[in-house]
Amino acid sequence: MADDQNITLDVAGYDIITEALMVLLNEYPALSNNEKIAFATLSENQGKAMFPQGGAVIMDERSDILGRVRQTCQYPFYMVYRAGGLTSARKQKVKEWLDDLGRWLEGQTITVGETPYTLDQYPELTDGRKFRTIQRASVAALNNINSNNTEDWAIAITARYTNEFKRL
Amino acid sequence: MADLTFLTTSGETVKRELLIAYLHTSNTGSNPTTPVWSPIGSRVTDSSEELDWSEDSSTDILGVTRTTMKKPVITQTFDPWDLDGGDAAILKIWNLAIKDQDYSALAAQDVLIVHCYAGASTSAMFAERYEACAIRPTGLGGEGGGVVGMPIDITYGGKRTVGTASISAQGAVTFSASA
Repeated sequence: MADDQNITLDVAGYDIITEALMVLLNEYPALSNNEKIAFATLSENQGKAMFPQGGAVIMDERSDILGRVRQTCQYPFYMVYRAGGLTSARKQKVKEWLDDLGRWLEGQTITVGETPYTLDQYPELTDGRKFRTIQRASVAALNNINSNNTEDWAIAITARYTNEFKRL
Repeated sequence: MADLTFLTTSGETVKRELLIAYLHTSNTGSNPTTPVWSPIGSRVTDSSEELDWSEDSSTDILGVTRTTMKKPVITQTFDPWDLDGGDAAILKIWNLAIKDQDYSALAAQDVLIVHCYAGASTSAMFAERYEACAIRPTGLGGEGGGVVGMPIDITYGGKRTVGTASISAQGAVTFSASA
């Protein structure tokens, strides 16, 4: 039986959230100086990238008695870490790198080298939107082995935010 | 005052946001007598005036039923009402109730109900002012991971003045009592 549940997208929010997440992800303390997390792009042999999973979905919408609308939305995405020639120990490091990214986005303290890092606040959004939580939806795991024997490790993360506006 | 008409399109229902209660929030400052009206109910998704007419019906020995009524006691609940530093109405009530526990002041609040859907024009919408309303916060708190709410009950009271209101593009409300 087909699922006839309607899915409503926050179309304008998709670009705003994507831009903010890309800035935030590239502040991950475990990134080395020259490393960048790309948007939906990986080179053949290596790279780290964020892949949106669908769009920004409106999960709940309520109107107050003054005519303001408050939407609760979520933006699910994957973080993918591609690398080749991974030994068992290196695979473990890749998995920890992704899991730590998830923990850091949740506001937990991670340690890079000897230094502890805690994300204090999420970036400001525009047009009445505000991040509420960014949480892992899975643990990091091997997602794919490519034809050139590189491996794609991935973790699913969901950003939840609210959007408030006055509807005509 | 002559009967009014609705300002909304015939055949259309009236949007809820066209009935708004405003709290007089300018009790401090250089000119405390000039009302600044701040809307009550941001983030409140459902709230209605409850009208108690003190209705009393009796049937006499001939089987005739008669009913008496009195002027209504109007009450309204705003629940949940989430704390927000940008909400002048909730800030005033929080200071009176939580900081000062000033029950006398809480029982004498000036509230204006604007019926934006009724009147002669959008610059002369029907409004009723109750100068001594009792506003009673019934709680303060919320669940972990959520927000702090302070639900309130209002009993509209004091001198009732009807008149018209206009609302500027910036949301400033001006009330004029009927002659």
